[in-house]
Amino acid sequence: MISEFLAASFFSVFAISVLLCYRAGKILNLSLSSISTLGAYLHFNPFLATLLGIFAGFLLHESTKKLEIARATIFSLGLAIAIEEILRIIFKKEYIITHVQILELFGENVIWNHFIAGIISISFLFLFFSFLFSKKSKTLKIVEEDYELAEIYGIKTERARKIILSFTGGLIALISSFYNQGIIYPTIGWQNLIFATVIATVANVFKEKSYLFAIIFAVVIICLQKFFL
Amino acid sequence: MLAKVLPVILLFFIPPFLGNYVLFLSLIAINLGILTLSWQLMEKDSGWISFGQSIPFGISAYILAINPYLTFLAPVNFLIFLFLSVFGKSLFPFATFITSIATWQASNYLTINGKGGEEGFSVALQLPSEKIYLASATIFIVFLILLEVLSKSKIGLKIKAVRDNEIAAKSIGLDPIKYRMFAFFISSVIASISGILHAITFSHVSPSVFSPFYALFPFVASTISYGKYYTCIFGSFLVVFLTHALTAIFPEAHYILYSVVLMFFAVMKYAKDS
Repeated sequence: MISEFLAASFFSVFAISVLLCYRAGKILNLSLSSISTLGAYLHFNPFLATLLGIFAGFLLHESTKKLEIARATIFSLGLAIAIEEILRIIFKKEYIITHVQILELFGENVIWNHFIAGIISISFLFLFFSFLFSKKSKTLKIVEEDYELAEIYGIKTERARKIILSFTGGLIALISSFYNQGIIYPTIGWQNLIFATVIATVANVFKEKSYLFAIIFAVVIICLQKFFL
Repeated sequence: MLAKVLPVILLFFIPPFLGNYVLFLSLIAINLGILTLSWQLMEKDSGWISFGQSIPFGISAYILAINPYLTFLAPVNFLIFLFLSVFGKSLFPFATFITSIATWQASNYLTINGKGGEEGFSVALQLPSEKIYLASATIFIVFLILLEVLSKSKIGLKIKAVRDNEIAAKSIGLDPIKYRMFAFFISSVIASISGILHAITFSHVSPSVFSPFYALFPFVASTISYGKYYTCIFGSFLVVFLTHALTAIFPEAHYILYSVVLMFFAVMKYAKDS
């Protein structure tokens, strides 16, 4: 069950990133798929992957800050394809086999990199929910509610959006650089995004509690996957 | 009308004189031109930007390969668009694209009697390229005329009225769902026929028919040809010939073109509006 727990924490973070971009960044960030692929391809240097993820998020913010949601989504798709093709040009080969180190944890074999990705994901979840239950989270809630209202309250929405898109970009690149099954291929990021989007779409129904429900759904889906597949 | 259709007809007369390779590429361009027409009905007249035209396109191709007698059921997949439209116009591009990617991934696991999977299925119906070219060109021109007529007809104006303002359209007694369904259905029929022609052209169907190449092709072809029904075929020819011309030296060329068009479309539209 440890592997499933680590997978659930990874997809929880992915789904929360999708939700954050949508609810507070007012964008359906399709480029997260390619940022995830970027992280996977740069598995040998997670620091570089994180920096490039932050840069991709920053670039997305700067290019879409004045666009409405549909056009911003179209731009993010363009950026996603651009990142993927740049990776294809640089790496030249589509499939990369990575060395997998197995770790024995409470009698269960766990992939070492998954363990690291899980630790980072759980740390993020802990910090994120600490923030969410603090008084400072009101800022996020107002930004999610309405940009104009947030501006009236003195919140710099553009700055908040910039931080959210850059941070989620960096985070996804970082955890994706660890989370792979020993084989990296171009559509790896799309699979992660589809899975995270399904979780985020259902969780989004629960409005303010959507972040908490994203974790619950991730756990439920991973458990169902374990039992049925 | 004649001034719009005539250049297209003239364009279709050129490839048969330029050898088999050009004819084959032109055939692919015309089939994808039909797909672009179906997309334009969704975007131009109904106001729904779809990144999932590969769904009816691919499903019809698969049905033809698996059981040709069930091909008439292919347009039913307009229900997928109808379901996805509950997310609203701003989320529709995202929802359709994610669905098309999910279909692409799922199609890799579709096997019947040990056939299918990543390799796909063979199509029993095989015809010479010249005949398919003639059929595709004729179908394209028929659909082009039909869509131009539909766009200016009473029903076309009602679809546009619903596109521009659903509440105002409701106030004058128009049912938005009814006209949306109509537009989605016609669009799915056209995309399905395009998929069938594509499957016959290659005599084979694989999961790639659901890939982003086909999902985004109509958007790109339409955008670079100024978004008119009668100009989309030129965009289609340009993308197909550019893709194949550069494949040997630069295999990623078409996707680079896609990304540039997508990013510029979003930014330029904003610049134009403001």
